[in-house]
Amino acid sequence: MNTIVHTTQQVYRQLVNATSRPGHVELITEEVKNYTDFSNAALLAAMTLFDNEVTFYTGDQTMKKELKVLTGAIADEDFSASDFIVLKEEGLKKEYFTNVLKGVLISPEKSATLMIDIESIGKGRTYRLSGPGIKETTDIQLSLAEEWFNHRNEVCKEFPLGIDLMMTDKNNNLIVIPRTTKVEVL
Amino acid sequence: MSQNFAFLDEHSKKEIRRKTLKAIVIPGYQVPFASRELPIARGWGTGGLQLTLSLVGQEDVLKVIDQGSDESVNAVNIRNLIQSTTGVEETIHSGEATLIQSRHRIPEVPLKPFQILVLQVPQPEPLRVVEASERKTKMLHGDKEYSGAFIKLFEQIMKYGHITDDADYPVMVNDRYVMAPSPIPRFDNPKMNHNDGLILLGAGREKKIHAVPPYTKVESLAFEDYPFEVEQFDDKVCRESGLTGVYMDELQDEETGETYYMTNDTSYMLEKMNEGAVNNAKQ
Repeated sequence: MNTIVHTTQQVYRQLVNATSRPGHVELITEEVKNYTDFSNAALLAAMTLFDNEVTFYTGDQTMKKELKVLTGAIADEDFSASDFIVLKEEGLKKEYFTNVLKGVLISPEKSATLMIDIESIGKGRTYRLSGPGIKETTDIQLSLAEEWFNHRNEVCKEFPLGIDLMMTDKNNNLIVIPRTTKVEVL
Repeated sequence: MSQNFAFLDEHSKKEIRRKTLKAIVIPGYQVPFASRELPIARGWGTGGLQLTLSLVGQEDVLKVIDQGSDESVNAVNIRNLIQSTTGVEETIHSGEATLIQSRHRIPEVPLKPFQILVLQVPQPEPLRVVEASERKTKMLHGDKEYSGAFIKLFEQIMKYGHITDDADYPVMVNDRYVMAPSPIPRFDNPKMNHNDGLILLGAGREKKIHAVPPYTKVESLAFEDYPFEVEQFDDKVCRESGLTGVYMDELQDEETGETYYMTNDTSYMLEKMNEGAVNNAKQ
C-alpha cells in the first residue's frame, strides 16, 4: 500500500540523506500528480515539509496555488520573511539570497530554505564541496551559475547564520547544500 | 482500531521533520520543537521516540537499545510501540539495522554510512548547571561563550583532582557549539567524531532536537594539562565472553560476593560469542 503518508516519509528520508551528506545526489522516484512546471522532486519536497505553520514565497502562480491547496501553507507576497522560497533557476534574483531570513544568533534556525528547481544536477559547472557531512571533498556538477554561489557564500559567511539550498532538477535528482558547506568553483 | 502509520499524525511529523533538518544543518545547535503527547511519559525517551516515529518507513529495520541491552523494559516497550504502529522488521544486530534508537550508549559496532542513530536525551543543555535561565543559555550559545562549561570541569579538578563527569561529558561540535551528547559514557564520545552515520538527539521533556551529521568534528572538552580520558577497561575481561577493550558493567556475584565484569553491549557480545562458537565447531 502506498499512500501520501508513505510517499512523504520516503521523500523525507531522502531529504535527511541529502542534508546530512551535502553533494550526495538522491533520486526521487515517488509519483505525484503534478500540474506545475516544477519537477516532481521539487513538488514532493515541498509537500513533505509544508503545512499550515509554514510560510513560503514563489513567483510562479500555478505552484503557489498548488502548494496552498495541497499543503495549506501560507503564501507570502514578500519573500523577506518566508520560511521557504520556491524558485526556478531562470527566475533567480540576487535578493532571494541576500534579502531573506538568515536567522539570529540565539535562533539561527529561523532562516530561509531556498528550494531551487534547476536545469541539471550532474551536468554543468563543477563545484567542490567540503565541510560537515563530507568525508574529504565532493565534486558536483550543476547548471547553476557561479554568481548565485557567490551570493550564497556571502550570506553564509557568518555561521551559524545563513541559508540552506535544496536543489532539484528535471530528472528528479535532489541535493542539499546546507550553510555549513564550503563551496568552491573548480 | 485504526491507527496512524508510525503513531503520530502527519502535522506532528512534518513539524519534527522540519526541525530535524534544521538541526542537521546547524550541527550541535539545539532546535526547539513542539514535542507531542505520546503514550509514554515525557522523560522516558519521548524525544528519541518522536524522532524515530518521524523517520521510520516500511523498509526500515529497527533496533532499540537501553544502556546496551535490547531486552530491558524500556527498550522492549518502545520497540513494541513502533512495531505495532508500523509493522517494521526488528533486529538486535547493529549492523543490520537501518534505524537504531538508543538510550545512553553508542553501539560497539561502528555506524555505517546512511545508518541513523537516535539518542534519547534527558538534559540537552550543557550549560544548565551553570545557568538556570533558558534565555541566557541561548545567548551564551549565540556568543560562543563557553567559559561556564569549562569552569564546571575546572571546579571538578580543583575539588577532586580529576574531571568527574562520567556520562554526558560535554563535547564541542564543528568548532562552534558545545553539546550534551546525552548520558553516554565518556567511552562513547570519541565514536561521534568523524563517524560514518548520522546521529540525531531528541529531548522530549525539554523539547529540543540536535544532531551530529556524518564526518563532523566532535571534540570532548578538556584542558591541556588535564586531557580528555575515557574509562579504562584494559585489565578487565568480560566474564561471559572473554572480550576485552569494550565498555563493561561492573557486577557482583550474589553468591560469592565477587566483583566481575560483563560486556555492556549485549547484542555485540552475543555476536562475538556466536562467531566464536562457529569457529570452535570448525576446528
